[in-house]
Amino acid sequence: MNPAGDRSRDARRRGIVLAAPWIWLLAFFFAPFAIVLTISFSQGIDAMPPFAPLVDISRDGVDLRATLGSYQLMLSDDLYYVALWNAVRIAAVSTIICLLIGYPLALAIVRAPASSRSFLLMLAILPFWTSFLIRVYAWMALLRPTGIINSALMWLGLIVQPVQMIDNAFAVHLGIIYSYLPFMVLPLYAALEKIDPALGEAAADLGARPMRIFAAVTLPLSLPGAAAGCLLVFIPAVGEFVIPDLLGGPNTPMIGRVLWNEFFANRDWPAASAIATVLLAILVAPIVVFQQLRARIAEKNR
Amino acid sequence: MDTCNRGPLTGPAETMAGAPALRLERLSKSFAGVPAVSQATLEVRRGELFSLLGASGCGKTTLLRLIAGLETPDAGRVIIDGVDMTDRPPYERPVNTVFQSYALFPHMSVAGNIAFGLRQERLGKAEIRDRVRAMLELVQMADVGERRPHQLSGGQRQRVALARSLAKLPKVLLLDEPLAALDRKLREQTQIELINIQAKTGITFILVTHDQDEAMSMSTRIAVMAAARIVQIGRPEEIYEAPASRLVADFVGRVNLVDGEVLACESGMAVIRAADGSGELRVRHGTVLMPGAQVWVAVRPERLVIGDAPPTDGVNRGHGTVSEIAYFGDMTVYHLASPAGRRVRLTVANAARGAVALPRRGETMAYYWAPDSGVVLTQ
Repeated sequence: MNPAGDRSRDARRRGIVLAAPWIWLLAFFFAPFAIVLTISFSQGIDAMPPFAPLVDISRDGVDLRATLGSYQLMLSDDLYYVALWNAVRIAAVSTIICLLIGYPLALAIVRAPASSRSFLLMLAILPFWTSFLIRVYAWMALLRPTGIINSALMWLGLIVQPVQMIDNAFAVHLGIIYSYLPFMVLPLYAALEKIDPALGEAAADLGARPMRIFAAVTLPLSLPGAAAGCLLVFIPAVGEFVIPDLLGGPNTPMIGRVLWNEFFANRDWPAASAIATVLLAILVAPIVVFQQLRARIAEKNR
Repeated sequence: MDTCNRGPLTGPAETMAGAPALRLERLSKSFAGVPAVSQATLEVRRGELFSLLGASGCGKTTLLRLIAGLETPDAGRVIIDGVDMTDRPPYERPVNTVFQSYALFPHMSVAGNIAFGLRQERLGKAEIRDRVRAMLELVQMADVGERRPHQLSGGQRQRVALARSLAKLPKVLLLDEPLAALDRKLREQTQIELINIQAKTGITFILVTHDQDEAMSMSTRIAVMAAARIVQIGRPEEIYEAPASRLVADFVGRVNLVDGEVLACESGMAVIRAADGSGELRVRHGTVLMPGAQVWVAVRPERLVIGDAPPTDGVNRGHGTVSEIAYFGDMTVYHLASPAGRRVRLTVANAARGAVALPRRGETMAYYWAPDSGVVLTQ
């Protein structure tokens, strides 16, 4: 066998293996995004589909009809700022609370006896066994003025009239934290579990008290897991539509709902596409930061 | 607290100078009902290089962790430098450990690793820097202070781990199989370096090892452990020449064991009848043995001499068929099958090149050994 032929066959095989994810990305990410990007530069019209083609090829020649109108609309109307700011703020606060709940939870699972560890981990991902939508509906049943919690508190005589727990920012935070907590716990668990227990023992042996061991050894070594968890919570939470729609009421517009409204209620596809494009651009930033951070940490303690 | 590694022994407490570096009193620890360390009692003097020797699973690492405070004993006391430390957490004990995996902090530089223990004592920046530099020089790693552990070779990591645990000048340094991960050449070289560093610093070393050569060549004294118990404590030559039991004789070095019955014991000379009917053995033995007692005679392979004409009377003789020959360069090992079916192991030092014509496989070979070459074991 000639080695050159082997090499070209190896390259071909590698190409086939790599083709699968590339085709997937191309078909389900790049192509749809190209369509969205195109629509965002189009003009809205009353037709089906409700936007004018970007490039008009007629008898008079090729006519490029791109417009920045949808982006100008976004800059001119406060609604979009508010919704975007709301979304980023609610997602950020929820992510931080998820981290504060998820970190001790993941640490407790890692420190639990080996025999019960997988059971505890299963409990953490147990909510996935029920549809996400049904679980959000369940929260509605719990939080409503006539819901289970209010009824119980009133029956106990602790309150005389229902407490407003739904259709506000509180309910949106609660829903996001509840729904996305497992996405925080799992990467944190993976990172904490990877830390050699001997490192903690070595730190104690060298005179560090438990709090100091946590601050100097456990915490810094678990940062990649914490960053991954924060991304997994923050990114989908920013664009979240179902939770603000069902639990948020009219006073907590988040960008996902505005996008939905533009698309389905107003049938303004160019505006909806512009929002989606801006949202994507905003979300890419933390991913890039995270990747660079991870690369730097990997470089340091490979 | 902060200065625990300097301990209560700077200043007035120096009056305790006579106390041993470490005393363990009937220390016991079980895991899920299975004893890992049982009734361990021993005393380590200051400046000793003391080894805990035993096969894997004998409890030697658990004993080390009990001393470090990483395990809590079920019973017994740990007294370090005259102070009862049984109930103190590891961070308050004036001992430091070199872990088998080295357990270097991957997110800190070499200097950061070495400084870690000193920072817990809240020493000044300048003092920490000087101590780190001194430690790096001690282990001959002066130029790698800024590197990360993953950039180092196995041998270099071992030195950093050593420097890190020596930096606090502990009363006792615990080493858990520190050389196990090194290749043979590096291991021998590091053994010598460890002895030199120990001599230079004067710190008491307690070394856990399963390698009997390592224990023999490095230690002032050895505690042999088996099945959670300390079965013998002694200097290397005591352990080798006067093992307390068959178990120790078999674990430390190679040995030929013959079981038999004491026929007579007069003025230190025991006459023992071998159980396999191969005859009577004469062994010079220090203590009094009762006739009729069941005993074992242990003879080291290198104490058996090839040849059939004993120069003096009173030696023990034997012969067998050569079944295996293993040439090691410096010596040759023969396995003989005795007429009674026993295996006899015999080593010959290859003192001269291309020496005398030695027996070959299948040939019959005679040997003899002097009465003071053997040991009588009663257990």
